[in-house]
This record gives sequence, structure tokens and C-alpha cells, in this order.
Amino acid sequence: MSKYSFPVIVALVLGVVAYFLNWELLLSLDFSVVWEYRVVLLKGLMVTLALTACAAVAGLVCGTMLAIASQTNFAPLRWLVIAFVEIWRNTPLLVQLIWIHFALPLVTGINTTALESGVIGITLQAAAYFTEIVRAGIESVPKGQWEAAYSLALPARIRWTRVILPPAIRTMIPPLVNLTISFFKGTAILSILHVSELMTVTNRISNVTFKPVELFSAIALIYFVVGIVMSKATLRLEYVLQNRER
Amino acid sequence: MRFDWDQLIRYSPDLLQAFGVTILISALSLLIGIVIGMFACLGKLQQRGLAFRLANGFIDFFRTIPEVVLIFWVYSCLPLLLSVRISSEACGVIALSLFSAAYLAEIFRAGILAVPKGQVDAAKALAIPRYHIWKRIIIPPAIRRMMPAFINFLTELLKATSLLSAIAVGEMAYTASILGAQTLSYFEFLSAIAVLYFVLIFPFSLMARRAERKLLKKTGH
Amino acid sequence: MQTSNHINESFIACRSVSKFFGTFKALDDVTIDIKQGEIVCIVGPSGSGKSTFLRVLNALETIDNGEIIINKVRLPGDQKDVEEVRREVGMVFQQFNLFEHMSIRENVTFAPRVSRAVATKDADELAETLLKRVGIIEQIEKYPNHLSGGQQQRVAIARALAMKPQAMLFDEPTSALDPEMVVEVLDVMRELAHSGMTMIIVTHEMGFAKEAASRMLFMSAGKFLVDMSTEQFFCDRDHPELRRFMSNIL
Ligand SMILES: Nc1ncnc2c1ncn2[C@@H]1O[C@H](COP(=O)(O)OP(=O)(O)OP(=O)(O)O)[C@@H](O)[C@H]1O
Ligand SMILES: [Mg+2]
Repeated sequence: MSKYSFPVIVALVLGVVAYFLNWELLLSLDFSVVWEYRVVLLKGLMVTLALTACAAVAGLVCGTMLAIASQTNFAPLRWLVIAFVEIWRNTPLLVQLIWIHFALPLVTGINTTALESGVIGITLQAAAYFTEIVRAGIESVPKGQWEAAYSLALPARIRWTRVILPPAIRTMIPPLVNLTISFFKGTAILSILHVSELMTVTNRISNVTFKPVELFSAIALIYFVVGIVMSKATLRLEYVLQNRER
Repeated sequence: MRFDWDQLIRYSPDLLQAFGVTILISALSLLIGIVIGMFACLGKLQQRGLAFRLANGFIDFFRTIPEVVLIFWVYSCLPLLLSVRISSEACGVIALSLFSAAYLAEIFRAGILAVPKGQVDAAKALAIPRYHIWKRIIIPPAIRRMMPAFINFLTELLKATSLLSAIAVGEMAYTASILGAQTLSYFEFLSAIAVLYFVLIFPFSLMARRAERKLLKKTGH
Repeated sequence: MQTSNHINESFIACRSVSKFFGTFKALDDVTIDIKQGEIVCIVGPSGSGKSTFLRVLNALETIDNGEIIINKVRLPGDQKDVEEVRREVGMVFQQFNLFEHMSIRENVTFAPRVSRAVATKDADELAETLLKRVGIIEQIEKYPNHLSGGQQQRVAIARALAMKPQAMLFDEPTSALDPEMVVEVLDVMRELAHSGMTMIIVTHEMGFAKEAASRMLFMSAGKFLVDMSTEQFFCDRDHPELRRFMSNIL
């Protein structure tokens, strides 16, 4: 292998791709449609971000409560939490969404709008994942801290809010942020219910303008840029947190 | 509401076939993903140069964009760009292969980097040829170290196949929604596939956790 | 048989060798000759570049300046030269670095089989001989993590010897060991020294150095500040830096 072999392979692959590309279509691509629909797309992005935030906040609240519940000595409650977490972590979000939207109303008799179903679905999914992380965080608090809190006879609420949760939260932050990024990706799945987030909006525009290549390439880029900024920021945050501990 | 077992039993062959499609698409995407992922991993291990940049960009891009967007892009853009007809099943396999390749590349890389540097130093100091260093010193422990993440990725891949229902691939989620709409027995069919997915995915989750525990015990962290 | 003239010629020759890590100079213009059969001990403060010097001799680090000639092969060189040098120079590490997923037998036989093309049967015999020599033949089918540190280090020595090298490099071979295990490793090294092996040893075991070494090197900030015969080294110490170093570790 000479040091030129790799560039040669790359050039060959590019050549083959270039040969098969439909240049006519490629040259007629007109990205002005993206600019034309910028307001709609931006609104879609806002909905996406709002859904992400909702999943993160509501999921964290539910997840923390479930994690605390999973620490009780009351076995049935513990099992219930475990069952909830395992079921929601081991089935696809898409199936959960259509189940909530189409199947659940047949049992409860309560009809939910697409947005409601979407929010319920992604929140419950987030809750299940967050429960695991919060539980791991709680279990990372040394046993001595628990014993100290018990021996001082601190009330349960104080024990949790002042002794156990503060150090637990510090170890939880990086995985929590990573999960939030994955829910940012997950919101695109809500397009299956036509919740008006970025992906749904793009589908709609594509259906009236017949410019799928421009539109899907553009939103792929938007998702990529927003996602990569979030994950690079997370790396930075992890770095800062790690250095603070020392 | 009464749970309509008859409908389920009547259409169980369709569900079974859809189950097969889910497995088949996962397996194909996994295989292609492993091959592309190995090359991307090798590229990223270079740490600099053209191969590194290409691999790094590839991995970052396909890990960051949502799978649904990737699937739609392949389904609605690729046939136009190449001016060929591509079946939705093939589109699904292409999209999931790219998704798998990007994730697997990072999993492989983490496994390889977890092999202690001293092991490779010792092998080099013994004048062991590069091929044998990879084959006997790096790859076996790397595989052991990447097993939990790899099995865990399998669960993600199996879940991701459900997204192909958006482009009408006849896998489980799609089949169930179609049957549900036809018979209006949404509850029965959607619950049935939820159970099927769980039965398919949960064992892998358990395996991943067991592999992780075993590894922790062995490496003693 | 080699002529006496040949034996006196240097086996390892470093000419103005420098090594940088980024902008940090780990080896600073090192020139030194080591003859066949010499037992050289290197001492010096932490971070002075002792490990780097040994790693450079085994081409585990590339050098940025100068040249090294080992057994007539020149470094830096291509992969073939590098492997040629490594075949003739064995190395023992502070952390043993045994292959964790191979049995003791495989650890010792692997390198001769794949880099010297020794038949499996011959490699097995050789391994058994060497493991007897270092006194752990009973453990031959076990895996490294079932052995004590001292036993692992003796396996590591046997593993390096299985390549039939002409010289051996030791990088603080006893620093990671509990005190009661140090002796068993030093005994093996002492026996090796008596057999006429060329050895370069980085160590803080001054007793061992005084008794086994024929030549002492003191390294500081990437340079060899002192290069004397062992008798000289342990008698007159007018070098201020060396005196400070010695009073700290003795
Ligand atoms: N891979 C590396 N990258 C950057 N710096 C390095 C690297 N290896 C060694 N160094 C630096 O080079 C200097 C010399 O290191 P070396 O390990 O040779 O010292 P040493 O004399 O063996 O010390 P010790 O007694 O602690 O083993 C140190 O300051 C170290 O920080
Ligand atoms: Mg050292």
C-alpha cells in the first residue's frame, strides 16, 4: 500500500458516483424553495425544540419520581416501576405512539389529538430512560451518605433534597444531556402522527412543491447542525464538570 | 371492549411474515453496517489525513440526523438523484445500513481503544508482525470489550426498523397499522406487535446487561 | 566463532539522538555506545527520559534527530529494519504487559512462532526450558491474571528470551512488585547477567546495580550526565546532581 492508494480509491469512488448521478436533475436543483418556506420551516423547528424540551423536563420529573419510588421497600411498587421502564425501553417509540393514538382510545374512550398523543408518548419514553439514569445516579451516592442522613434522623424530604440528590445529579448531567439530544432526534418520529414539527412540515411542503431533494437535504442539514452543536456543547460540559471535580 | 382473538388468529400468518421482514431487514442492515462500519472505524483510527476526515464526517453526520429523516431522504431523493427505481425495502436497508455503519464504527473504535496500549507495545517489542498483532492481540480483547455496546445497538436497530413503516415497508408496525385500519381492530393488532417487539428486543437488553456485568468483573473497574 | 575484535565493537550505537513530545525534549542529543556483554544500569529522576531511551532502542518511539545502529541495522528505518531490531532486542516492561487472553504457554510461544517461524513443537520445548529456568514451569497452562506479580514478570522475561535476543532491555522491572517478590525477579536477572547477555536496565535497586552492573549511567533531563564503571560510580560521587539523587533514594 503506497501512501497514494487511499486518495486514488476515493477518487475512483467519486468518479463512479459522478457517472451514475442524474446531472440534469442535480443542476436544476433550486434551493430557493427552502428560503421561500423559511417561516414555516422555522416554526416547525420551534415545535421540534419545544417537544424536545417537553420530553426533557416532563421526562426528568416523572423519571425522578419513578426512580425514588423504585428505592422503596414496598416490593409491588418496585416491580411496577421496573415493568414500566422495561416495557417502554424495549419497544419502539413509533409503536408506542400509534398504540397511544389509535389503540388506547378504544379502551379509555378518551380521544387524544395527534399532538397530545405525541407529547404523552415521548414523555413516557423519556421518563423510562430518565428513571434508569436517575436510579444509577442515586445508587452512585456512597452508602455512608445514606447512613449519615439516617443517623441524623433527617426527614425523608430533606434526606432526598439535601443529601442524596445533589451529588447524584452531578454524575447524572452528562447522560441526561445525551439523552435529551437523542429525544431531539426522536421528535422526528412524531411526524408519523402529523404533529407539526420540522419533519411533518417538510413532508407537507414537499407534497405541494414537488421538491423533495432540496427540502429533505436542507432539513437533514438543519437537524445535523442543531444536533452537532448540542453534542459538541455536551462534550465541553463533560470536560468542564470533570475538571471541576479535581 | 372485548379483546378480539379471532381477528388476531385469522391474520397471524401476515403478522408472522411481517416479523420475518423485520428480522431480515435488521440482519441485512447489520451485515452491511458492519462492513462499512469497519472501514469508517479504520479511517477514524488514523487520527489525521483525508481518510480520517471522511470517516469522521460520515460518522458524525449519520449519528446526528434523525433516522426518519435519513429514511425519507434515501426514499425520496436517492432514486431521483441516481434516476433508478429503488424498492422501499431496499431504501430501508440502505438507510439502516448507513445508520448502523456510523454507530458501529464508534462502537468498534471504542473497543479497539480500550485494549491497553501496553499489550500492543509488548507485541511490537517481540517483533510480532502487524497482521498478527491485529489478529491475536488487538481484535480478540476488543471484541470482548465492545460486546455490551454491540448487543445494545442491536436493540436500537430492531427498534429503528419500525420507522420503515413510514415508507410502506411491510414490517411489523406497518402491517399492524394496515390490518388495524382494515378491520378496525387497532387495539388487538397494535398490542400484538408491541408484545412481539418486546419479546424480540428484551432478551438482547438482558444479554447486553449481562455482558456488561461480566466485563466489569473481568476488567475490575 | 566471532573474533575478539568483533565483540569489542559496539552492539548499540546512538549518535546525537533527540526525541520530542510536542515541544518537550525527552531525549536531548544522546550519544552513547554499548558493547556486547555489557550490563548497563540507568538511574535518574522521574521524567528524565529513561523509559523513552529504552523505547527508542526498541523502535517503540520514533526519533526526531540522529541515528541508532543496533546490530548493524540503522534506525529510523522501514518496517523490515524495525522488526529486525526488535527480533534481536527483547524488552521487559514495568507493568509486565503479558497477553491477558493467552495462557502462559501461548504467551511464550506466540512470538517465536509468528516472527521467527519456529515450529509449534520446538516453540513448546523452548517455552518449557525457559519457564523451568525462571522457575514457573508448573504454571504453564494458567492465565496471567492467576499469577502473582513476581511470577508474571518472570514469565515476561521468559517470553522475551524465547525470541533468542542478543540484548535485553528492562524498564523498572521490579517497581510494580510487592517487596517480597522483588527478589525472585532480581535472581532471574542476575542469572541472566552471568550467562553473558547484553542488558540495559532502568532500576532503582541500587544493591542489584552495584553487584550486577558493569557500567552505570545517570540520566537527567534527557541527557546522560554520568557514565562510569560501577566501581567508580559507587565510590567517588562529586557530581552534585547525582549526589542529591543518590541521597534521596538510598
Ligand atoms: N507519549 C508521550 N507523550 C507526551 N509526553 C511523554 C510521552 N511519554 C513520555 N513523555 C514525557 O517525556 C518525559 C520522559 O518520560 P519517561 O517516561 O521517559 O521518564 P522516566 O525517566 O522513565 O520516568 P519514570 O521514572 O517516572 O518512569 C516525561 O516528562 C514524560 O511526561
Ligand atoms: Mg519510566
